Amino acid sequence: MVQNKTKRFITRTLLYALIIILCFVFFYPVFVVFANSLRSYSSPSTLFFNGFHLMNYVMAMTMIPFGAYLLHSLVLVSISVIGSTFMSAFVGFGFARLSGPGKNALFIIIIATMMLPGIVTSVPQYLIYHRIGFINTYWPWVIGAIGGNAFFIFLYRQFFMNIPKELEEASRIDGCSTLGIFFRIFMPLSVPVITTCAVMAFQGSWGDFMSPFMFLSSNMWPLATALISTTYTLNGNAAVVLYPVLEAAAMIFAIPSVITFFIGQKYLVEGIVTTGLKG
Amino acid sequence: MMSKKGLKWTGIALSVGAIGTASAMAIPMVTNAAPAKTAAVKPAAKTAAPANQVTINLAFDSGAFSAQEVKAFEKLHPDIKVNLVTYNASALPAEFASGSAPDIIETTGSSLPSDVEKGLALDIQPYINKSKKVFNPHNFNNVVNQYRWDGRVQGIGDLYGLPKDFSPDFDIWVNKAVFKAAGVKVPSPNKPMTWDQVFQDAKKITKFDSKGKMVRYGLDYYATGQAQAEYQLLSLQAQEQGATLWSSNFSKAQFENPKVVNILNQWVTAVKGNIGPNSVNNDKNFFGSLFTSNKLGMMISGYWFSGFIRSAAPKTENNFEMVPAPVYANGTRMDPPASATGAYIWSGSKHPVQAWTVFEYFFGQQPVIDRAQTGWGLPILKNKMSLVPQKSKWDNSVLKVAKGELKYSGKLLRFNPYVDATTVNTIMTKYLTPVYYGKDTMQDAVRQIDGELDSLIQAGMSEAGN
Amino acid sequence: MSVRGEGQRMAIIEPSVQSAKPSIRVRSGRRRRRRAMEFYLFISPWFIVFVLFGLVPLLWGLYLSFTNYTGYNFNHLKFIGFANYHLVFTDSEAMRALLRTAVITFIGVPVGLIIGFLLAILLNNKVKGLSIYRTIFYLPAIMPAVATGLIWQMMYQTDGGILNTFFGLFGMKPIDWMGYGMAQTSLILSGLWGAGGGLMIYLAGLKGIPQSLVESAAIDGASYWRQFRHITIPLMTPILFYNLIMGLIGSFQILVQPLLLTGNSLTGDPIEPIYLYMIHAWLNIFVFDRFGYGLALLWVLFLVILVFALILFWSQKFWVHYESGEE
Repeated sequence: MVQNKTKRFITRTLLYALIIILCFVFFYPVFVVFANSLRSYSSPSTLFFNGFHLMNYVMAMTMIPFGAYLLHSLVLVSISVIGSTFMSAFVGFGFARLSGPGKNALFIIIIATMMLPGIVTSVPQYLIYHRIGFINTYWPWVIGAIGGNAFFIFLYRQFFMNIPKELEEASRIDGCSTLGIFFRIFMPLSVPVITTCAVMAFQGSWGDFMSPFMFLSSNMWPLATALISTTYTLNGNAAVVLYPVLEAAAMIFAIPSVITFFIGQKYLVEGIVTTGLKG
Repeated sequence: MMSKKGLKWTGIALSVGAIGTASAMAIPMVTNAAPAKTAAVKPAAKTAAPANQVTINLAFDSGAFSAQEVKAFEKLHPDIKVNLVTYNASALPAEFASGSAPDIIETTGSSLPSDVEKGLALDIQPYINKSKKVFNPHNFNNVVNQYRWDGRVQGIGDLYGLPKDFSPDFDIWVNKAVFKAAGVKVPSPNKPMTWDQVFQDAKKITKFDSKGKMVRYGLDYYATGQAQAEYQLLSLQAQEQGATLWSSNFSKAQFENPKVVNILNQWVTAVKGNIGPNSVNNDKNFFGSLFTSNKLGMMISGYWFSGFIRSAAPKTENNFEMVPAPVYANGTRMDPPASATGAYIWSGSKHPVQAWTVFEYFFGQQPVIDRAQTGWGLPILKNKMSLVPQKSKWDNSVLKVAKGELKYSGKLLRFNPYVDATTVNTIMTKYLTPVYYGKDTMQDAVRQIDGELDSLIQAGMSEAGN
Repeated sequence: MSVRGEGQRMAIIEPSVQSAKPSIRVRSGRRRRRRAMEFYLFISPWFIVFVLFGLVPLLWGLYLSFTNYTGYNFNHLKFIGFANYHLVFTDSEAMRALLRTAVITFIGVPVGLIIGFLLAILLNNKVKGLSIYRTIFYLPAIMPAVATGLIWQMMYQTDGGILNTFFGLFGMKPIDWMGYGMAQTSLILSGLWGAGGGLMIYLAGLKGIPQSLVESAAIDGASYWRQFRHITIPLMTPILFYNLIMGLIGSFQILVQPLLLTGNSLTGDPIEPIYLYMIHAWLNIFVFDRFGYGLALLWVLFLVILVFALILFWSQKFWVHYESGEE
């Protein structure tokens, strides 16, 4: 017994030691950015704190139209999260519970689109969006949201396929339409998947800097694009970049992602478990 | 462009989600809402009611123009709305193709010829001629010639834009404390150093401790933050010796020219001797902090750097001095702007007249005064020169050197109109980096640089021919 | 039409059935037709968007790759046949970059897969503060690109960088992380830092393993290692497969990381060992204005990815364990 306890104690200690070391490996680089975000712009980069210039955070938010960029981020994220989470469920339901000729081929196309290098389509996409007047509007995001997201469609399909047929049939006998079944039976059941998709959609669109870069003029950019393209410079001189301020902005930018993840993580795992990510 | 109707539809589409609607309504979905009618080129109607307001998009690096300046302008010209947008080089080709590019676009003296050759820059000479009150031709510092292009030679012909301000860019900024610590004689501000002396001093100053940790560097260059070959600097060094990187009609690259090869070899020695940050030692430290924290002896940079020193090291400014641009033993003195940042009016602008009104204000009126007073560059208008900081003895000594260098800033660097500076630098880095690492020979590198540039020049020329 | 025809044919095949039956069949045929309509209705948002904003640009891009498109000459494009494609295969730089990208993919993706998996196994234990560890492990995946670039530049700086300072504590000589010798390793390492990105999917997979299976194995006296080998791994293969496919697709398209490692500019030029295929395409399109050629490069990449993906799909039958009874 004692031996067992000691053994258990040793394994637990080793386990925690390992986790703490790994936490250090993953966290320290982020900490370095934080430490550097507090140094003065004329001092060299540091591995631990070097000064405590909270002013950098104020400058990060005042030197560029931070509020406007943030607002644009929120708009784009709302469109993507709400739109693609809902529309993917809709399409996923079609693939899971309905059938028509060509269903399998269409599903294979969905899987295949996950494999396409995005940049192949982005240049011609720009030209098309321009022809129809979608450049410098949020229409490309609305369109993208309507079309859903291939991975989400896949997740929903897997999840809906596992819902017992009896549930559906019972309500059909009660005279429920397919749309009714989708909204009244399937959607309420799929809260874990909805949350999973919402969190993933948030992470994806919050960090996406490429599409706004292509489709929007800079006064409509979200934060992600603004931070990678607009450098904080001293007096507009491109050679003098205020790295500490940039680092401060990056820290601020990461906060919503971290919070969303921290809150959503429980559902994330649950959501994927319930869908059973299998072929 | 999207119409008002489009805006409404977006609103409806978004009403699916409350957050989406609320925030989408709060921000403008339309940037170029200007009615197309006003596009007809007529004399600028200053009396026009704001109902016919025209929006001019001004693409400039953030910080160069302030929101206050925009407000002041809009007060003067209620019929024009100025939209400050960030300069976004990668998006421009698509914007040009689709006709949605900004009306006024940031450029540099080095890119201007290629902007003109691509048909992007509007000839603003007619406007300048009519604008005697703001732009008197005798009042221009000769740096504006960098924005002249006659189809063959930069510096003569019509103006296609203007720099926002400028500095003769190849002076040497000296950190006296570093020179003293290294026991090297501090260079005099009255006489230019030779390039050989610059490299020698840099080598003497450079010091690493026994563990291989950098104590101080000798030389750095503001444009790259690295002491290695770069297009503009190389052009200067070649032209000082009477050589050039391009054939007379710009159709061929001449990096294989022995004089150019010699300069490049000098930079290879500099990289191997670690006299400054470079792509081999991979030091990403910011030159400004290296310099002000006494870890760097010499910085190749212009008058504008005094602005940095005033804000970063106000108490110790006497430790730093600016000396004239270096020369070669038998070469001519030159100190032009590397590539004065400025702007052109896009030839496809739907509102060229209004765009010019904006241009005239930002490059000739109040913003010029504001900028001159910061000391982050010299104004392009001679009568504004007196506005630059002249409070302290130090201010005046730096200004004296800068003014002395103006004599040598008229002879411009030769930039190829068919390939832009970014491309040339990318190609130089691509083939010279292996040489720095000792993975390739200089002979091979310059041959490849010439080959690749020639093919790009060909493409650029055939495009310009269309 | 065809549905009713089917119903009639059925009636003919089974002549002995009662008269009511064919009418049910007809109704069920109608139902099938209605359900097909419903199916198309439900998938129409995706399908319409896919065709108009996915397929059309794709084909247009394909067309542009057969022209001399340079980004500025849109009004006078010339069709130049396979010239751009011919150039891709004779461009030794493109081919070497492709090989390099393949090597980095074949090393980086499996190693990343294993590390992500092991992290998940570690966190699948009952530990206190699980949500904090999960967040920390996941952190690299949600850091903004600009921060990641700064982080790795500080990491790999030869003099005074994080890694060399750390190894210096043990008296090691500074390593030239971004030099010719180490750059590829450094690139892969920086990718591994983000290995926690797949954590959630692994954890979900591990949670999905029926507890009863594990318990009965434990009762049978199977060691932890045996349980791991015979229960955990086989049941996790579908998830490993999914991450492998996604990792492969992502890795062939690596672009931003080497650029950010090299400098702060997106027009930078990484040294040869990390001059990857997408960088070659990127520079050709956005720096050298060779749009037509660049699009041809991208299409070749797409085909390469497709071939590897198909090979992986085919290989499934040898190693991916699917539960029976699955549709």
